[in-house]
Amino acid sequence: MKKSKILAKKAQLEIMQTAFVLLIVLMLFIVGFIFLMSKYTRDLKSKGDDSVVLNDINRYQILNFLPELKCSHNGVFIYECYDKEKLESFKTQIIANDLFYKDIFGYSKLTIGEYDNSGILIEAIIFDNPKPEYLNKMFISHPIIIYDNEKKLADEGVMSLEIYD
Amino acid sequence: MAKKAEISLTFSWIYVAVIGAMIMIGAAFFLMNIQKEAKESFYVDAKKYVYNLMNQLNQIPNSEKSLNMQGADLELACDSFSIKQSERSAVTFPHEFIFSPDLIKSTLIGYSDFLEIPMKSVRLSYLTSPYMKYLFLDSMESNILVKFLPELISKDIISSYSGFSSKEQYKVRYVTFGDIPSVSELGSMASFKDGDLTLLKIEVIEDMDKFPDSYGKVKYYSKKRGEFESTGEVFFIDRASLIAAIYSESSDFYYCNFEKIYPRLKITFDIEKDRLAAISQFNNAKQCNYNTIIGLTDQMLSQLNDKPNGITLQKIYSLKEKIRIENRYLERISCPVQY
Repeated sequence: MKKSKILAKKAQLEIMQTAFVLLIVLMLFIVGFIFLMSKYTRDLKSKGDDSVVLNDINRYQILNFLPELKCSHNGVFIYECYDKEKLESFKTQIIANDLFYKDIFGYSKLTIGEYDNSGILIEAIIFDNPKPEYLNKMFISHPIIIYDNEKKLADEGVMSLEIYD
Repeated sequence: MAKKAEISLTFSWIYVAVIGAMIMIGAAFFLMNIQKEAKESFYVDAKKYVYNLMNQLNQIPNSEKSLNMQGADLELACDSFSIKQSERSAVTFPHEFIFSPDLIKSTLIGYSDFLEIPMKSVRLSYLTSPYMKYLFLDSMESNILVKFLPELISKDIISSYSGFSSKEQYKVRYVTFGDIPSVSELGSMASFKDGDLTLLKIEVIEDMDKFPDSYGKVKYYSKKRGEFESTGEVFFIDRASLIAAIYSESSDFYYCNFEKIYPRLKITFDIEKDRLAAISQFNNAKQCNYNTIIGLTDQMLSQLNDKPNGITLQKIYSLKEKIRIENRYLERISCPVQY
């Protein structure tokens, strides 16, 4: 009688032990599931954010194709050529349409430099929207032509774009 | 006692079975979620590719691009797009001008061109699918127009309305310069899904000799209950805007884009006006009269303050032609030109 009582209790304990193990496995499974799902969601969110932000090169290329700045002859744009008078007016327009250009250029700084008669580069800031706490800064600079309508001359210049991330 | 142990054992087995089932259901739920998230991740990538394609079109005008979206379908509004199968929110593009059908299935074909009024002013992008068919009823105008359309789109010139039967197209658009046919004239296409079968009637109003760089009207019709029902009309002012009308899902889609285009054009014309005023003061331009072209630019700016519609577009077309003539005159007398 006593032996069978001990055996039943032992069996009961063993079953309870199995049940506890299963319960712990289930709990671990739930915790793991929650962790993995939150990681997936976080990754996906950052992926989603990336998709709507233009990369640096795209931003630079958009700038390169802004029709409001380009020199043209009979409606045909001249590659890498910027009209001096358009650039002057653009400085005012960029202030008047601040939100529009901030959306296009994002956090960046656009500078146009022109060489004077003595060969010194005179730079003018066209657009400046710095990111207060940026992680990366990319600097792109390349030679351009600035067409002077008064002198009817194509002067050498430099366009620089700083992009903050 | 033995009975008690038996009951306890049975209960424990039930308990183990329940826990086991819960683990199985959890695992299935987990796998389903992983699959769902993997799909969402793919859709996010697809969105990224679409956005990059739009930017590439912007950077290289008159270029054509094709993108296989691996089964993802693109839903478009005039200022946003989303993946139909995805639960995530749409990507907005408030400063891009995209003309397209409301749904692009499977593969995306993109093209871009400049709106010329008269200088190249803003870039328009066009998106469609190779599974959307554009059918032009044979005419002199259709033959001219088709040559200006992108190579990659699915387009044909048909001699009669009944001469086409759809195999794999989800949308079909007829384009005519003549009379509106009845749906019964479409042959097997008469049973095509309502709303996905549309018809455009193009009417050239001014300067037929310059077509497609002329002024005209595009009327939209949609098949509904066995009839073509008028759904709206738009006006075009050059080749780029005519192509935009052909690509646009509806007249609302077209004008919604023009509502974004007008402010952009305003910036361009403001810059042009300032430039002309500066040039007119130069010594080499003292003998040139810039008052006319500055006046025309001013008139253009005042039109751009209004809402885009047939009236403003007609005025813009007329001003564009006047600016073109004045620019040619300035060039002839060796004065610095507007464009």
